[in-house]
Amino acid sequence: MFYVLKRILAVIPVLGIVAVIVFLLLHLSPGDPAALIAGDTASSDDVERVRQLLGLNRPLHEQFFSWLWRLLQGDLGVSVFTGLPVTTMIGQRIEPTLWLTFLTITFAVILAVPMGIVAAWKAGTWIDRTVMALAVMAFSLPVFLIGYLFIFGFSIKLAWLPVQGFHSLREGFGPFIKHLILPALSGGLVYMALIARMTRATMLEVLGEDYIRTARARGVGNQRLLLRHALKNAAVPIVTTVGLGIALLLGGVIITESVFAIPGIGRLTVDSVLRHDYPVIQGIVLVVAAVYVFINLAIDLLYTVLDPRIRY
Amino acid sequence: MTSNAARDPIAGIDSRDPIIQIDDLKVWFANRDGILRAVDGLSFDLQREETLGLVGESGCGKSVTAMTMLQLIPSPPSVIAGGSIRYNGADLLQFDEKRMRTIRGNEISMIFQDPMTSLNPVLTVGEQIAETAVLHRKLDRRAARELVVEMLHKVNIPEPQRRADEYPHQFSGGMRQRAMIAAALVCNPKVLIADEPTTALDVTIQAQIIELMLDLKREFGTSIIMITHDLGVVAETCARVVVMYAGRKVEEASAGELFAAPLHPYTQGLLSATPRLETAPGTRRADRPRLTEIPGMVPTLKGALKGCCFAPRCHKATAICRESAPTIEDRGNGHIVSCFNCGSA
Amino acid sequence: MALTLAQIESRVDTEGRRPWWSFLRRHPLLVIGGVLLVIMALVALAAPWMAPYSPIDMNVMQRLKAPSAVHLFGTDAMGRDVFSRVLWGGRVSLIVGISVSLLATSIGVLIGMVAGFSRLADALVMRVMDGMMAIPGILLAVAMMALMRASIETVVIAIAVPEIPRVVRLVRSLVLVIREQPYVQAAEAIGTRFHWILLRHVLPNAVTPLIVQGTFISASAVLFEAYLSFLGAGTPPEIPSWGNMMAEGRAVVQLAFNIILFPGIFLGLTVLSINLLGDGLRDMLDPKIARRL
Repeated sequence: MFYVLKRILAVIPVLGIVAVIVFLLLHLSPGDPAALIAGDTASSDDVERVRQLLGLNRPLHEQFFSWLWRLLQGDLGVSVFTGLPVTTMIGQRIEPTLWLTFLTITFAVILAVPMGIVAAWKAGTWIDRTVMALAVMAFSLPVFLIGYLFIFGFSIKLAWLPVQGFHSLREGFGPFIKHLILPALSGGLVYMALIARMTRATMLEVLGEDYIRTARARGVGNQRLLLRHALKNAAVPIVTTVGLGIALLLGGVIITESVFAIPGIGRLTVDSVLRHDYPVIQGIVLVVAAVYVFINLAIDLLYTVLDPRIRY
Repeated sequence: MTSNAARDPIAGIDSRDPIIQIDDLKVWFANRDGILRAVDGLSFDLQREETLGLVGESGCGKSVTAMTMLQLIPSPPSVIAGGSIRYNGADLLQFDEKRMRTIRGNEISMIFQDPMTSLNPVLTVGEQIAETAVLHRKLDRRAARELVVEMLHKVNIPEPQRRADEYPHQFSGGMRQRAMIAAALVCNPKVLIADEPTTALDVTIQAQIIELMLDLKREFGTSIIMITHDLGVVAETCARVVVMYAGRKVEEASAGELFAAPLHPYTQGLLSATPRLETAPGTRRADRPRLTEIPGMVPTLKGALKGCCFAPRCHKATAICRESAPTIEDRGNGHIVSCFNCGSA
Repeated sequence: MALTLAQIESRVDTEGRRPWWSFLRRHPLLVIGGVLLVIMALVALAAPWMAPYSPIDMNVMQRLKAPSAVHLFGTDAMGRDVFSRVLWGGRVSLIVGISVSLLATSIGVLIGMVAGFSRLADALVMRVMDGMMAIPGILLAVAMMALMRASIETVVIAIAVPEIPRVVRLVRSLVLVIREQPYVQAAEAIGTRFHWILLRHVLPNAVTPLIVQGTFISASAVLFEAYLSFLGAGTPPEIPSWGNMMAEGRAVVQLAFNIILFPGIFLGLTVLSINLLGDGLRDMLDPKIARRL
């Protein structure tokens, strides 16, 4: 239980650091933050207005604490461009992103882990080499190119799946899933490659351990060896990679939304960048980082189930 | 080929066919640099209910022999270059994987050197022992559990019900080795191969484990192949001993005879290299006898060896020793030796 | 599949080996990756001489032409020759790749060393690194670009910063491990000066993993530049880069896929070659992993 408490408490400093980084980013950048946000076409009045709006004329520590205080109350500030609270804007867009992320992780784990296991089991054969070659290639292509290739192949040429867009679950499961398959697969390809490689490496290591040899000497068959004896031991590093790779995954999701015109957080980010709408960007960074931290917390807690040695 | 019929049976063993017959076994490994002849023409028998010692330095091929018996060495990079291993007359090397699985843990079991790493850390001890029983005897969960508790009790693990649900990291080293023995014997195999079972343990625990093994052997009637480089263990447990060097057998005899009158220069060297604590107190350092050693190093096993494998290190080596491999001679009483120049030291 | 004796006898090379041939067989990844990368680099370097047209010359009469003998890869929405732009774009990508790698590695090494040697600094530094790693790299880079004027320099900085934590973690763990080694403790015990320990013991052992990681960072950087440009936050449009070529190609993806396809292929090949090189280096320099396959 001690371990669980420790892990939960450890989240706080990390989130704190993220908040500090996000805050400092604006102030450490070269040039006048207000001018940057106001944009190239702003007049000096506009710049001044922005400065007042964001409180950039007050002393730094005052800004930080008031910002932090508002943050803790759930107030992420107000968009410079739309005037809406950032929380509202994020709230409007978050549903598609969450679904896409969830599906991407699911597809990735379901596809990549077995591939990694097979590659480890057949290490050195053409199966292994093929899987690893595919993984390296997936790693090397930009996500949006993969997305466009998929669109080209599956949507335009084969017309199996829609080109773009998002349909909420409320509109029916069929359209919902059809619009999300290609984005989930293309955005998650890099993530899948990472998981497959890690799975393979860990399984190889585990398969070389003494206890596998001992189990085999007792007559345990290959399938059981792989799945019951080896995989359970490999679970912790694999799950760790799944968690750490979420950062990569979320980046991929953001790009994929752009490619497939899904109205999620990714699109909001892109729009905000173009408009130099920093409060929104700030809010997005915080929310995304928080998601990452909490997913990893869940994984840390999962360890206690997977590995009996981690249970103090 | 060793002939068992001609030998005097050791008291207590009836003279049926041996349970294991290894005949001219050759196990080679292929890597980019060449072929490694780990086992190069090994032959010996294991009689029923006998404890046979397999002795030699690290790298002499004893573990490879044992693992080959259960086909535990992956086939690239290893290859069986010749010979046979007969269990009750059937050649194990011809068995396919499916048939082999019925043998492993069931008819022939093996326990390994390092108890710290030989048990799966994420499964309970009980699960690992029960698994063997369930696999081979098709027991249901309750029967398997009872069997597990009984076995843990037999290997002298206190509180077996509680311990069965614990994980290996909660066991001490000695207890883990006992658990391994329990897992190996749960299906009452006819043969137990023990690969350096006590090497990784403290001396006091060693004694306990050895005693446990002998007790269990009496109870179950198992034949044991005791692989070790520790001659003390051999003396305590084995009725007969096979001495290996560089993948070949150099001598074979009953334990008593081997210790009393070793014939092969290598065996003689091994025995005299055992440090003795017999010097009288007060003897000056200069007067204390030096530890004898066998000069040189174990050969690298690459390439075919011309002549006797021990010749480079042997103080009795003569020209013929370097030219051709020595023939195997039977000196009576089951004492077999492979040397041109053997005799008393 | 069990081997037969005949099979291994045919497999094993006899004593006389030809050295360079066997290097190729033993390290295929390294060789393929290295050769491919060298080709890409040469092509990029030779852009001024190889490119048939200027990359920025617009010719509205020739817009959106398909690949032909005149324009090998076709033309883009402003009539610029895609082939020339792809060649010139390679320079940007390679510069970004190398610069990011060098920058991130050097800063990371400094910070990592400090963290490894000072327990106080360690606690603080690692917390900060954890925080940085909680923010997806692209997001952090995008956030930074939103606050800076777009240029190759700022792009390099924006991509390098998110890569620093990984280097710091690596260096820190290396330093900690090496410091525990008996030979370092012995050196400290006899009073060896700090900088000597650093130079003679820590650095040589750290070089190899750093090189491997640096290689992977540069692959990542080339990709990130493309991502940033795709999102509109990357290299300024006046400078042709593979990333902003693909970004511009989005608008006409159904009409002229070649505008996205060709830079994409080149990008993919470059990144692939760097990744293969990195894998190959790692396998060559770390025998433990190499033995596994």
